[in-house]
Amino acid sequence: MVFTSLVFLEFFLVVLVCLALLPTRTSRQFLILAASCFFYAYWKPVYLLLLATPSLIDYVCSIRIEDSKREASRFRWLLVSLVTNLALLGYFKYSNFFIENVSELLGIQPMHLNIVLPVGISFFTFKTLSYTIDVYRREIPASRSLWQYTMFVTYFPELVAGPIVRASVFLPQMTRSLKFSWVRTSVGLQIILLGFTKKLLVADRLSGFSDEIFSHPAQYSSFTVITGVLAYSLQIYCDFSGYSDIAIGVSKIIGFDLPENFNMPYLATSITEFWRRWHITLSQWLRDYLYKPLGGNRKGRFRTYVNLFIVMLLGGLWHGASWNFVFWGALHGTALAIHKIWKELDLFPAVDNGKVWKIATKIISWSATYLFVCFAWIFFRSQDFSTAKVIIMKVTGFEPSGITWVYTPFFICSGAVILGHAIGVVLAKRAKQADSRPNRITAPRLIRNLYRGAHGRFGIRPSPFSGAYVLLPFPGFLGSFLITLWILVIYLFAPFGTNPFIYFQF
Amino acid sequence: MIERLSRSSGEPLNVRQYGWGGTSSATYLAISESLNQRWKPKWVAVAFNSDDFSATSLTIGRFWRTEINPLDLSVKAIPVERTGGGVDSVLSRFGMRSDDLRDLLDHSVLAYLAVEKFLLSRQETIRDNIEGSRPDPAGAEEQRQEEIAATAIVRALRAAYGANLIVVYVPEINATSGEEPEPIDKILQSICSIEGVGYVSVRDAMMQRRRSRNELPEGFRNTLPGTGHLNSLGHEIVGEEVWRAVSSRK
Repeated sequence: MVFTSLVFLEFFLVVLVCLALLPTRTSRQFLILAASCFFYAYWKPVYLLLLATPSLIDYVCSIRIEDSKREASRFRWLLVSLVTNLALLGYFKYSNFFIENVSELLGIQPMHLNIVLPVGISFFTFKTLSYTIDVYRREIPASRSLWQYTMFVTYFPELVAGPIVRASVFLPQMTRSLKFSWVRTSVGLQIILLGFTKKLLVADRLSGFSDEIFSHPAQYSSFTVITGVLAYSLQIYCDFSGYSDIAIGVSKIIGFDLPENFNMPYLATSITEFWRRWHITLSQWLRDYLYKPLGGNRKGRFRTYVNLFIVMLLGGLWHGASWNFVFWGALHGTALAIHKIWKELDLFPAVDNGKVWKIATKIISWSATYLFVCFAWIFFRSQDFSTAKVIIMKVTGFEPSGITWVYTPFFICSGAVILGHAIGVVLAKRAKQADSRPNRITAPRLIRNLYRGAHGRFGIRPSPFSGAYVLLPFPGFLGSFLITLWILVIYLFAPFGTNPFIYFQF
Repeated sequence: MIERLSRSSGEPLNVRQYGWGGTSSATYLAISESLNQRWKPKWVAVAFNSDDFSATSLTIGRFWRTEINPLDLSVKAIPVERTGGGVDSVLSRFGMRSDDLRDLLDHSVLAYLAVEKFLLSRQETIRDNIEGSRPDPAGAEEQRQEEIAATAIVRALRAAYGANLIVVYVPEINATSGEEPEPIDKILQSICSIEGVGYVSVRDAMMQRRRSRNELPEGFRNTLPGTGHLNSLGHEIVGEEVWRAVSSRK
């Protein structure tokens, strides 16, 4: 069930109505659990078993870990959980990849297992892994309620493509009443609309163009291939962050707060900063459950670089069973290590820190970071290395000839994304000021007159990661009108058909 | 383009171009005889693409629909009852007849767009479900239907315009397609040969342009490369090819 399909909207409406009608918190939680199971089963009912298996095993393991007095016993139960989760992930996601590569090494005919990759397996496996590890580390108590724990694992807004929510964030929210709230609905609806805007008006509009360029790069000129690669960079950002926004908004309306997953990543001025802004929940997961256990930066410089490389290599493999993803991860790992070395070398310590210098270095750093990220996307998106090679030959100008196609929606979407980022930067600044005066609702300078006209009923809600959302008063005439207009614009300008989200395949 | 070429050759022609939005083969068949009687043209070039031979291009029309007699492949044009613009085609597609809704849609472009979008998205969902549950019916049967439709259309046009008719086939040429002629291209060529009417396929000329100058004859800046109607280059190529056919038949 795709968030942008009519089926999902109907499903969500039914869930909301039922939530509003049910009398107790427990019954509402049961409803959410049932809805989550239906949501997943709608795709393939048999894979509900796949969700149930780690849920049950991790539930038992976490309690055993907590109850065991001996360290060896605790570790044994942790091992059971890790092996179960990783075995499921390995079987469904990497079996064929492993068989193909081993067969190639041995020079024998590869066998192909007929395995359908369950949607979202990478996401919910990481979620359940983090839970047992946190219990083992004594960072959170084990959940004693099986159905509450199952609800955490199966929670439908973030089940198939994140954000990767940790038990320490989700389970404490189980005490919430989940009663219908206009305020939450107002906030959630606007975040959903922001997600729909990104997905339907930008990502889906650009997907056809980037698909065409990445399918037949040899046919197009350098200029067209460059715009195709840039279009893909916008598409994947708007697709994935749009999905995250919808998940966060849907969850907010239900009554749970999910962590932010993106914070304007293309504004990053270094690759390290990029990973603090892109797919934040995955970056944090890799940091806490892979980078730190490997030794992090505590075992000397060289080990730090190696650790960064290993983490990103595995991060790449997490995205998909293909050497392209591994290479993409390796590129990012190398870039992170190089950035760390660069910072440590501190080559320009004596240079005057004047304003011009600061601006110049920012522009250079930003350009280098964005271009590197786009370069890495080539490997991420290409079908294979030979396609990636053709694209690189095109973008570097070694094979410039081909069909030149100026695709205007790309330029319109680019303008819209740049404008959105500019507003985001302004709002983030205002949000910082609002942080220092938490009780005062402020309006961004851009819409201050509108704010006054609306008798101060605009508000900015600073969020911990992404700055702020502009929130319109809803219900209320002006807010309702603007939101209706927003829905109508999305409805009329969205392309036909339902495009699945890119991250569904991971 | 054709007028310019004809003047430069010293035998000027006046060209009348016919084409309406939302119409299909049915409309052009229905008006063919009256057009011929009115203008008595020296030459008539009718351009087709592969969509024009689908079952819906004959049975669904904005002003007319047509029926093919399976025995002699003759075509009968039947006027469509209401001609309230695109609204009717949208409503009729879904078998809807609501005067209130039609009135609303006639008076509000926004309402019309909203309803059309809803109906089409519903149609897509239904089609996706159907296609997901049964094997793809395309293939030999579809080609046979296309052949029947093409024969009927060419015969009807031949009956209306006589030997002055030139059938022009415009294939879809994008970045990768067009290397080989489509089946309908060959079918049309043989039908035209049997019926004794001129036939022009602009595929070679379009492919030549793509290979030599990396230009696509179809699509615009706001469409994906090579998708959409003929652009100015496409019209230019079609004009040149029609003129070449006319010149060679004089």
